[in-house]
Amino acid sequence: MGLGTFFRLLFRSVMLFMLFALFWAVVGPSLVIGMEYGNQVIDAFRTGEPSVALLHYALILGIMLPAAFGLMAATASLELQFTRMSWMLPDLARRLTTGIGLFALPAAGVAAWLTARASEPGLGVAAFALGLFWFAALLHVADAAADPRGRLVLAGLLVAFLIRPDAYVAIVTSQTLIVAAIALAGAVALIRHHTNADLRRRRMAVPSSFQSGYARTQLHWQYSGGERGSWTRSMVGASPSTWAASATYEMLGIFRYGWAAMLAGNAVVGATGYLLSPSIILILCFNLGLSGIQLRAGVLYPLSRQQRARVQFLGNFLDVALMTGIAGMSAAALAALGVPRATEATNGPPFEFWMALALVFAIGPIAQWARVRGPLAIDAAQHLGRHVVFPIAGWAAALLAMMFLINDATAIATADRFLIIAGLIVLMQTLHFLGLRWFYARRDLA
Amino acid sequence: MSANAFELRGVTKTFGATTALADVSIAVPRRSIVGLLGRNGSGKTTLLHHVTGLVLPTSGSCITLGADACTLGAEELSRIGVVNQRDTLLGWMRVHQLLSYVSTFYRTWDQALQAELVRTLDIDVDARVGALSPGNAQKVGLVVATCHHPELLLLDEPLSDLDPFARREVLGMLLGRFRSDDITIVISSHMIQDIERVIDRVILLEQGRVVADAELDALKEAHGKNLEQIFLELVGREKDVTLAHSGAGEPAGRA
Amino acid sequence: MIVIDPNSGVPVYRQLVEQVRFLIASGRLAGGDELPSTRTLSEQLGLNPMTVSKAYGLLEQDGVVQRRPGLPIIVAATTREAADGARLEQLRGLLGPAVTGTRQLGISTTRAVAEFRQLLADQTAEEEHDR
Repeated sequence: MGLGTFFRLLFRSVMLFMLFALFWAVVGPSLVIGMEYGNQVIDAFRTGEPSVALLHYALILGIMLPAAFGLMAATASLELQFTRMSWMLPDLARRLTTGIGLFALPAAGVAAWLTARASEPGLGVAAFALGLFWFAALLHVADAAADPRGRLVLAGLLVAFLIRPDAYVAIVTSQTLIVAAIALAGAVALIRHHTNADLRRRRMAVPSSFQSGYARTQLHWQYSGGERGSWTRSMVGASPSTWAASATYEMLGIFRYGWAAMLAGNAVVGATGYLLSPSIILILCFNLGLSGIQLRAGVLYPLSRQQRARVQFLGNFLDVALMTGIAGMSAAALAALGVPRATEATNGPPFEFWMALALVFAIGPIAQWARVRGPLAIDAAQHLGRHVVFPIAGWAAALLAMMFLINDATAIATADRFLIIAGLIVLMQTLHFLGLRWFYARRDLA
Repeated sequence: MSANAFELRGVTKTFGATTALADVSIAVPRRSIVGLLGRNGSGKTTLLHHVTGLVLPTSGSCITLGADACTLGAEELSRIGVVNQRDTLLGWMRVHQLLSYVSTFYRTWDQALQAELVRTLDIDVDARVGALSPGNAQKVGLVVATCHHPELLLLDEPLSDLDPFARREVLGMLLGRFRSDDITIVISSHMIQDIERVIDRVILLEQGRVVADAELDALKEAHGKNLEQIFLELVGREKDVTLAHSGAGEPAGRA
Repeated sequence: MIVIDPNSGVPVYRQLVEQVRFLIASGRLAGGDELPSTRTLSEQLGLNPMTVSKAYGLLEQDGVVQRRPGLPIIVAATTREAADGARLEQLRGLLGPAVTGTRQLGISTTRAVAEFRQLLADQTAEEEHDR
């Protein structure tokens, strides 16, 4: 059963990535074609009238959504194929093709439906073909074993059209038939090529450091650098703070670039939140659930359960302080440089951004509960659900708090609202501490 | 100081619908080398996790080094050494980095012993831990678990990836520790013939229950068989084996 | 001198006791001879020192060896009669299984004794031939 083979691979690691990808795929087109279109797009969508703004949005969504799905499909499919044992799996090519195909259809379908709604059915069909093409393109771009020239051309095409979306729209609307025919042929060829036997053989020989995605980052971590031995010698003692230092040391070793990338991402999130809309900042919750300063699970450190709970608490506190701190600093830098923000009608006054940032600090522990049993192990067969559920719960709680305290709380004085949030922070940190003590006293740690 | 290194009193552990340990009561005296035997999934690893307090009993209690395993403090934990079945070493470090990192956890870390073990077990300290072969990773795990002179050394499958020579080396090393330190060693292993040479006690688990908890010599005298045969008999597989044997011997018997 | 099979059904400490007794009875160890320490023997044979200690303990209990604090373990001095007794004891131990086998095979005592005599004569002849 093709579906099972492929989706089992997909579910494990890619679920988390999918949340981010979907978010950016939906928000992304607005950024590409310009925020001022936002309201026009929403209006056009509501009324169902043909609209240039909605068409632009739909066509760019037709690139980004299938591309994001294609990248996910590539991660799942290639992860398996970069192992030697995959060659022995019966009928793998057919199973993967079926799964990948079924995955591509909804991605292309959504954008096609929206395109048809914004203009006429003929263009919708073309958008569907284009969706399949962009899906297949990313499937190919992510494949380390494929011909690098082809990958470069496809990636270049994608970047060019995202830089000049108007040119893309012009080409698609004027040469609809030709573009659709080329896209469809290209999509079929690329998906067939993905399961080509020669290419599959070559994939098994790809050195692991050239693999895509997470595995590659982690392997790179393991084999590059790491020449720092003994600075912890004087730092490791009995107090939770020295153990948190140890946890940082271990985590930096395991997720070196991954963590750096995440911190850089936080700065970007802070900046976009400040410039566009405070609610963007809430996606920091997802980062808090992914990784942070903590000791490894299942290892016998000379630490009692209560001491481990304290180390975990301290690590989480440092994490949320670091993440919100970095996002805040990048926003403060933009404010100091006087970079213009979106209008207050859509973005609100600056203090609302700072309030939202403080809310992330307050709600953070909910998302961090995802890691209570240990850091996210990407290849773990179990407990993955918690890394999805808790960040989403944290994000939802923050969104709710934001509605009450920022959007609908105009009756309360601003200073009082900050006081309420400060109280919330104290309350949540206390609950977090008590919760960790409870958990570490009563639950299995291996 | 209690006479037992650790003791389980009526420990039952369930994970959802599965019962991993069913009313396990055992006592392991100090200064012994215990073989923890059982088929795959019989509860050996779960039992060892109870001793270190990583896993808590559903009912019953576990006393380790005289203290309740649920509330083991840094003092007691730093007197225990553990080799895990699954790799819990930091793969991105070099071996010497890992050793010096772990050494900072313990006040009693013995650099001379570390040097000696690295030499006798033939470990390359400049190798990247993540790039070690499974066998060499097991040896490094042993050194990591041993150099702070633990009073209780828990080894979960320490021999599974080692060749016959390395198994001899490792068992010889453990005997060396046993001769010089006041140490209790528990070895969970399927390499029954190898550990039969060094252990003096046997704990045999089958589907989470204790089938045997006795001195090896007492078991041998009671059964008149070697440990592997006793194992097969007690976990109820001996029937098949004897049938096969008598089947092969039948024609000769008739003649 | 001592060979142990840890993978046998006979407990290792019993094998040790039997071997030391045999070495003494056969004269290869005499009264006053030093035996390796528990530590040395456990190192040489790769055995648990507790097992070795148990064997020496039993031998001491039976007066076969002497353990004195801080000094090497030595074989206890015996009288000629006691040594003869020990040798016969060993022989009885060796013949035990042969007796059982003889009865199970239904061979008469006279026939069995004649056979044993013949085997002894053959052995002696062979040894003389080798010389």
